[in-house]
Amino acid sequence: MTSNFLHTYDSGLPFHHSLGKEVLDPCVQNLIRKPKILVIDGAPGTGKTTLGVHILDYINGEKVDLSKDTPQIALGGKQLMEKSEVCSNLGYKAIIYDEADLDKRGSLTKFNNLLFGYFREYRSLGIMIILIIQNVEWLDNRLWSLGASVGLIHLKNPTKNYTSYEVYDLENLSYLLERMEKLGRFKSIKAYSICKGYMRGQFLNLEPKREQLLRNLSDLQKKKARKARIKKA
Amino acid sequence: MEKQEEEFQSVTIPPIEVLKLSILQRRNYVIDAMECYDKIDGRDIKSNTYIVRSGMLAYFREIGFAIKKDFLKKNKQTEYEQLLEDINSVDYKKLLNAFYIIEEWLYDKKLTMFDVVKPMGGNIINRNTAKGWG
Repeated sequence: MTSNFLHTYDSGLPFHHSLGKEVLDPCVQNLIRKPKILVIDGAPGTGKTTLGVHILDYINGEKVDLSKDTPQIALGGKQLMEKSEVCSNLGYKAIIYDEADLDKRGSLTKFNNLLFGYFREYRSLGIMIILIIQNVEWLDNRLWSLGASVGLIHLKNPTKNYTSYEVYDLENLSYLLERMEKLGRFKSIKAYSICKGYMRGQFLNLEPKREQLLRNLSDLQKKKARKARIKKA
Repeated sequence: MEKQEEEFQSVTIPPIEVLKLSILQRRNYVIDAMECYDKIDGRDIKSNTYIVRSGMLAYFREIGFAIKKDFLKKNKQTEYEQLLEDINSVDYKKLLNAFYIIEEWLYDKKLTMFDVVKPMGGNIINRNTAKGWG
């Protein structure tokens, strides 16, 4: 079955070329000297992982492998630690850290401390981490003090074929986080409509075949995580 | 006493910034005084320039030493003497001339240079660096 929807714009990219030129290209430069973490956030179903895959496609210069054993998509800190080494050895410049478990409440746990240590030391691997989380506010405060974060891509208003994104540099992001804190737990989501990013655009969905592959991968990983949680409980 | 000392150790605005603000405030007083003079003059009412002159003198006292040093360094002895003469004058045109010379000097020193804001562009790394995020 063929889809009537577009999967690339005229530039040949699934997003506006400015995102690649102004955000992604500068991010992958000097990775050994300066490690970088790019955060993608948005409500469930907005296409965070899809954008992550588009970004990997752009950085790799070829379509990323979406099979079960893909080294470039990691779910949770444990997989990130394992797969980032593999990615580095294979010469990839970026890895997706999906469903990030860096929530503030758990930041004092041994695991998060380990992860924080990893973030401090992963520089030698020379890869960029694309951190995918539902709300940027959940991130451990110490992540900002590392100086590795470059900014945030916030996703909103998903439709059948495309989703809107907004890019925040660290200045915009600092105002956003401050506003979230002021608004409090229940209203923090309103901060996105008050503090705007400096670049806006839309990205298109994956081709149906790859979309299905990504869904399978995501479901598989989520299933594993669910099982682990049930076991823990 | 100890409490007072602790209070003095707080983080505050550096003196140079306070001085810059003070200069701009004096400049503003002179502009206000000139506005008043122009308003009265515009109604054909006989007026004098004592407010403008006193404002200019106070303004010059604030920055005079730096101007003197800079003018002498650039071998502008005559211009400096002319400026001093203009500031001490009661003639409105001369005062206005002195004001514009000081304006030029302030622009050169980047205190009133507001028209050269560099566009930051969209490069996220450059934007972060330009805004002090390392």
